[in-house]
Formats: sequence, structure tokens, C-alpha cells
Amino acid sequence: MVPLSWYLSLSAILFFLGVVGMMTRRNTIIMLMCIELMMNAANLTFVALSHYLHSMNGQMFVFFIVAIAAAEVSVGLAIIINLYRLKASVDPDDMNRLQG
Amino acid sequence: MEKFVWLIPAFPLIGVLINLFFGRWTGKKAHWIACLAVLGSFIVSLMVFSRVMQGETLNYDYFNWIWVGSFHANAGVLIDPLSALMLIVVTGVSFLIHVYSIGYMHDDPGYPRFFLYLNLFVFSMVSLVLANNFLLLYVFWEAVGLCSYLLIGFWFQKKSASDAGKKAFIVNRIGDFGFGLGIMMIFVVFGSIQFTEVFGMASGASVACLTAITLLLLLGAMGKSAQIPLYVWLPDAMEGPTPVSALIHAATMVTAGVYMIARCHVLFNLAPLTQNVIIWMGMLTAFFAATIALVQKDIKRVLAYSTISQLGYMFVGVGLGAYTAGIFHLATHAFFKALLFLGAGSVMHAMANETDMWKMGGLSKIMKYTSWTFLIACLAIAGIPPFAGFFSKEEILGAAWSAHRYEIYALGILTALMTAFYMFRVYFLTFKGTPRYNVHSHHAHESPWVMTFPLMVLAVFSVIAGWVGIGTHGGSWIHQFLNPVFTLPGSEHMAEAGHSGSEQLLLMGIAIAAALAGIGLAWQIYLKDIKQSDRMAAQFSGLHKVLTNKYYVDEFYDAVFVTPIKNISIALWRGFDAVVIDGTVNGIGWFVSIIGQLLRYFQSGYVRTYTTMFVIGVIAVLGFYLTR
Amino acid sequence: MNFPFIPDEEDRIMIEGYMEQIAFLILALFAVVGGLITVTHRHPIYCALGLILCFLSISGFYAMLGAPFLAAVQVIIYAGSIMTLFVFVIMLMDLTREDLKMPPSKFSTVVASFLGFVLLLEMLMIIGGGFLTGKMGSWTPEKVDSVGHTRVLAQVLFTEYLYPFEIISFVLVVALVGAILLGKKKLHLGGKE
Repeated sequence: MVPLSWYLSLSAILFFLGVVGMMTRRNTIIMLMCIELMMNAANLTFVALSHYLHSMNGQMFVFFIVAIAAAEVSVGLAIIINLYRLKASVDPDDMNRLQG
Repeated sequence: MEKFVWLIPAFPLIGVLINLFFGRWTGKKAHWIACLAVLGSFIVSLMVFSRVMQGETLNYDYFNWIWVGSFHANAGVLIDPLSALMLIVVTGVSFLIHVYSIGYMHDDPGYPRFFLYLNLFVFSMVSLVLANNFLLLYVFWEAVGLCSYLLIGFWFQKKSASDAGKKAFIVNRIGDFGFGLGIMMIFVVFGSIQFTEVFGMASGASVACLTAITLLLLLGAMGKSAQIPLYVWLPDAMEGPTPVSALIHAATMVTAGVYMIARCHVLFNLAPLTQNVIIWMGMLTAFFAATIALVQKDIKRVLAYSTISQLGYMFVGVGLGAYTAGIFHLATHAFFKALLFLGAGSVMHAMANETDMWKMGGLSKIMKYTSWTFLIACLAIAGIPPFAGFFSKEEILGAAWSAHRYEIYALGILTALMTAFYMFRVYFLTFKGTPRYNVHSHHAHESPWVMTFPLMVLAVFSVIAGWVGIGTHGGSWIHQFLNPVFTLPGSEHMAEAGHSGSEQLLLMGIAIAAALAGIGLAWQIYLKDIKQSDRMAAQFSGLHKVLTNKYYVDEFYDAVFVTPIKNISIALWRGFDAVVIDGTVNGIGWFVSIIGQLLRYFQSGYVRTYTTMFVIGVIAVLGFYLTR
Repeated sequence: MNFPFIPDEEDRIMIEGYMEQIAFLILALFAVVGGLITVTHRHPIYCALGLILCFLSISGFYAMLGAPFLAAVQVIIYAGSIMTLFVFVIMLMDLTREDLKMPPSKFSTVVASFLGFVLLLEMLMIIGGGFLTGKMGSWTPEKVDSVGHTRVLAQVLFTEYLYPFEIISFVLVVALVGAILLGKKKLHLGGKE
């Protein structure tokens, strides 16, 4: 039997990786991937807790999060493509038109 | 009845919303929505009226509106004969004027906006009439003021129009200030603002209290119904389009004050001092406005002053406790005054917006419908039987006589004489005699049928509306209809039946004689020998000058109120505003900008920096929960 | 322990438990390595592949946790369509360009790693500190197994979560329309001009 804390620790590690990637990478696409990674870490927590607490609610949340993630990625990538057309770059530091 | 009463304000409101959001698409078809909305209200009003005729009344709260501590205000309606009659008059006249506006405004670029405002006005006015508590009344009281402002300033490109709008709004605000205070005082004294509750408790309050309350309420009525000293806005309000003058500044809105006093008759009956004030204020207003109307050259201004004068009559009526007479005159006046204004508008339409009567004349040959209907309205307002104005005016004067207020009666008869005189002066100058305009350059023409049709309908009502008052006092239909309202428990119905049949005939004879004398004088001076008017003006040049300048009231207000306030304002602006307020504001701005300069460094524009900040925040929050 | 090892019932459960733990550790290794590749690799394509690896192992966890439907969803939607979209976009853009080779600065990496470790520490403290408690539900694994996982999911989804389900479908439509609009060759922003 795998203890619950193993799952939670694993998802914490994955989340940590996502956060660090978000802070260090300079490529918008990869930043979006890091967001996906964090989201999956959270999903893992949901499913694990759902299993150990004998409840379906966590799995429902995962279901909805997957749907939201699909929407988010499609719109996010479309925006990135537009930005790439505009700036010929995916570096977020180049998108500084609104900078004061 | 509560199932469909709410439709009366709902229809125009829907019209407002449609023309507000889709005005660009409705465009030149805006009138369909507006007219149908008002027609719907009118039909529902008729249904309500027929129910009321069968003795039904209604006091129904639709929902709680404000509920704070002991303060309750509901959105509810009160239907009784008084409000039912008002609804009929308001929606009926409004509908005719809407139809008329189709013809009158058809070239205006603001066409949908105009109908939007008109519908908004109808919505506010019927809601005002339906309100069953003081706060609701006050809200819609302000709303009709707003509509009035919007419509007077409809042609806001014209400075005089926007100035007139502002003047109307500000003068009305002065009155409404008193009205608001009165309502607050009612709540303090009675602990409620529901009409029925307040009126039920009225007899328990002290006379001093009631006098203060009613005087404050009267201040509001003064502003809205253009009585001395707050009448100055009404003549200027003629800057608005003529249908507006007809609808708002003659037939409906300005009568709100009379309606309010009649509605609160329980309170006013218990405050004799206020009643006296109302009588004298109304009579002086009627008299002085009539004298001013004698010499005005602008056709609309004459009508404006005549409106003020007739409103004065209504105030005399309600002040005497003859509420039925006041409301009766309100109703008949709504018809013939709307007719007069629409007739004047028709003339202006024909004369390319000329309003100076000295540049008209002889129009009866060209404008048959307008001229005939105008004549009917003149006869009605002058008080010639069997036209409507005779019966209602006669009833007010009769009430003055039977209350032994002979001085009021005498002034009233004198005013009636002047009324007949100036109205026929208008008629003769405009429609009779020889044309004084350039016949070749002006192509005067009769108005289209959408304009003449409302004129004819109103003309019919100007004749027959008075017949409901036929009968000995207390026995006529209108009395039977309205008496239940004015003899609610707690109110002493002032006896109106006081004089015998022969006395009544005598009074009628005097009134008719006065009216005929006025008409004869006008005929003598303005039709038979038009030069005579100039001679008379020269003979009484001092008086003529005073009257032409409207007793210098505007100049007086300007010198006493407006200029000092302006000077004080300028002083405050230079001294206080520029130094203290601006200093404080600029100081705060300077402080904020310094903080902003510092915080600017955090707004690097780099997403990663923001992410880092965010993570630091998360760490802080988690740390807080861990260490707690 | 006798030599020809014949496990009895007790041993079987124990051995299954060990097997599960070993499977967990192997999957966890794949997931963390995949995540590390995603975060550190220079080339976006490899990042995407690492992420796919990570997602696949997570779907393995779902299967272990008695949620086979979600495991399938994870494979089909995440590893399948979303990552395909990523790879597609990456390939749409010219990836050999130097602007993708810009390494993160040393300082920011140090700061980010430090902050990340603090966050990780805090999360582990929360897990270890027993902050996580919850109310037990009624869906025991045995019960779920007897009805069938997908069926249970559907039952809950279409009764208790019907409105969120409808709303999420609306959100997806909006996202669809938005993505199409954004993806069009020329953006028409601000009126007819």
C-alpha cells in the first residue's frame, strides 16, 4: 500500500518544478508548459485525496480542470502565435509595449 | 386590479428602453414604439378608470423598496378616483401630443431622442400619480423635473435653450428642497411615509407641526407648478419644442403641485394658515401672470403666462378646500391648454418658427382646422359656456364666494376678464385681420393630418370635458366621483354647496359678462382698429414698460440672488477652493506620485519578475499559516 | 521462511503492497525526470516530450488510484491533444532561432531555485504536519469497483455537477471561438476600419 503522503510529496515536487520553470524560463511556450505541469501536480493531489477519502468530488474537479486546461491552452497558444507574428519572438521580455 | 395596474408605467418604460438602446435602428420609426407605448398606458388607464367607476380602489405594495430600521418605503400604487382621473388626463393628453409630435418633429435630427424623453416623462408622470407613499412621489417628482430639463434643453445647441433648461432645473430644485424637508419632517412626526398611514394619524399632530409640514410641501408645489415666487422658469421653458410645452409645461407636469396638494388634502385641511397662504399665492399668481400676458408679443409666452395664471386658479381652488373644483379645473385646463399650445405649434410650423404675433395675422383663411380649434380653446379658457373652462372656473370662483372670500372673488373675476382679453388678443392677432408677414416669401400652409387630428380631438374634449360639472354644487358627476377621496375619515370636507340657485345664476352671469367684456375689448383694440393698441401703449407707457418687462422679476432675482451668489462663489473659488482645496488635492496627488515613483521599480514589465513576486506572496501566506 | 517459497494469503497482500510501492517509485522517477526535462531543457521540443513523459506517468498514478477513466482522459486529452497542440505550435515557429537559446541568467536561476525550495519545504511541512484532513465519503474503492468507475463518475457528474458541466461546455465553446478568432491571419480589432 502506498501511503498518501508519497503522492502528496510527489505532487509537491512536480509543483516546485513548475514554479521554478515559470520563474526561470524565457520562452512563453515553455512557461505555458510549466503552468500545465503545476496544474497536473494539483490534479494528482485531487485524485489521491479522492481515493483516500472515498469521495468522488476530487475526481470531478480533475475532470473540470482538464476541460479548463484544454480551453486555456488553446487560447494561450493562439495568443502566443499572434505575439510571435507581431514580434517574431516568444520571449516575454520582448512584449513590453505596456511597460510604464 | 393590481394584476394590470403596473402595466401603466411599464409600457412607456419599455418604450424608453427600446429607443434608448436601439434608437439608432428605430430612427425615423421611433414614434411607433413611443406612441404605441403611451396608447397602451392609456388603454390600461381606461380599464382602471372603469373599475374605479364601479367603486373599486386599490392600495397595493408590489415590493419592499427600502427597509432600514423603522423606515419603510415600498414600491406600491394607490388607485382611487383622484389618481384614476389624473391617469386618464395624463395618458390621454400625452398620447395626442405624441401623435402630434410625429408631424411637428419629423425633420429633427434628434427624433428618437425626443420620443425617448417623452416616454420617460410619461413613465415618470404616471408613476408620480400612482405612488402610494411620499418617497416614491418625491422620486418621480424629481424624475419629471429631470425630463422637463432634458426636454426644455432639447435643442441644447441653442444657448438660450440650455440656459432655460438649467434655470428650470435650479428653480425647481429650490422648491424640491422644501419638499424633501417636508417629507423628512413627515417621517419624523408620523414615523411613516405611507399616504394612508400618515393621513390616518394626521389629526393627532399639532397644528404648528402640520403648518410647518404643509408649508414645506407647498414650497415643492410652488416650484413645480410655477407659482409666485418660483414661477420664473416656466416662461423660459418655452425654449423647448412646442409639443413639450404643451405636454409638460401646460397639461401635465405643472399640475403635479395641485395634484400633490389634493392628495395631501388631509394635512392641508388641518393647517388653516397654509391654506390662506395657498389662496393668496394662487390668486396673486393668477392676477400678475395675467397682467404680464396682456402685453407679451411672443405667442408662446402669452400661453406660458396664461398657464401660470390658470395654475393660480387651481391653487385658489385647493386652497379654499374646494379640491374637486381645483382638480376639475386641472383636467379641463389640460385639454384646452394643450390644444392652445398645439395650435400655436401648428402656427409656428406654418410660419417657419415665427413666434411674434405682430408678424402674423389673417391665418384663419389658410389654416382652417388650426384656427377653428384654437378659437374653441380660446372660448374654453375665457370661460364662455358651454365650453369646458367655464364650468371649472365658475366652480372655483363659486367656492371663493361661498367661503365669503369676496376679495378673492373680485380678483378672480378681474383675472377672468383679463384672461378673455389676452386670449382673444392672441386669436385676433394671429388668425384674423390682414396678414402682417410677407405673404410672398412665407408659404404658410395647413399642418399635416397627424398634427390637426390631435387638435380636433382635443377641441372636442375642450367642449365636453366641462359638462361633467353641470348640476348644482355637490350634485354634478365630478363631485360624485371625487367626493369619496376628499371625505376620507379624518378630513373635514369643506362645504362647497353654500349658495342658492338664484345666487349661482347671478355668479354665472357676472363671470360670463366679464369674459364677454374681455373678448369685446380685444375685438375693439386688436381687430377693429389695430393702431389703437399702439396709442394705448403710448398712453400708459410706464405701465406698459413694466408689464413688458414682466415686473422686472428676473432682473430682481438676478440682482438679489444670482449676482451675490456668483460673487460669493467667485470669492470662495479664488480664496478657498484654489488655495485650500486645490492645495490639499494637489498635495495628495504629489504624495501619490512620489509613492508611485518608488513602486514603479517593481513594475518592471517582466513576467518573470511578477511570477517571482507572486511566489514570494504564496510563501508568505503559507508561512503565516505554518507558524500560527 | 521455507525454501520453495509458497506465499500464503498474508504474504500475497504484503508482496502486492511492495509491488505497488515499487511501481509508484518507478513512475515517480519518470514523472520527476520528465518534469526536470521540461523545466531545464534548452530546446522546446524536448521540453514538450519531457512533459508528455510526465503526463503519461501521472496517468499511471491515476490508474493506481482506482480512476481508470481519468487515466484515459489524461492520456487522450493531455498527452494526446494538448501536447500535440504544443508540439504543433513549436514546430510552426522556427525553433533554430537564437532567441530561443537565450539562457536564463545565473542570478535569476539562483533566486528562483531558492524561492522554489522554500516553497517546496513549506509544502512538505504541511504534508508532514498532518494539516490535511478531510471528511470520509461513501465511495469506497470496493463500491466503486462493483458499480464501475466510469459509471460512478457519470452518475455524479450528471446529477450533482450538472450545472458546472453545462457551464464548462459553454466555456469550451467560448475558448473555441476565441482561439479561432485569435488564430485568424489578420486581427480585426477596433471597428470596421
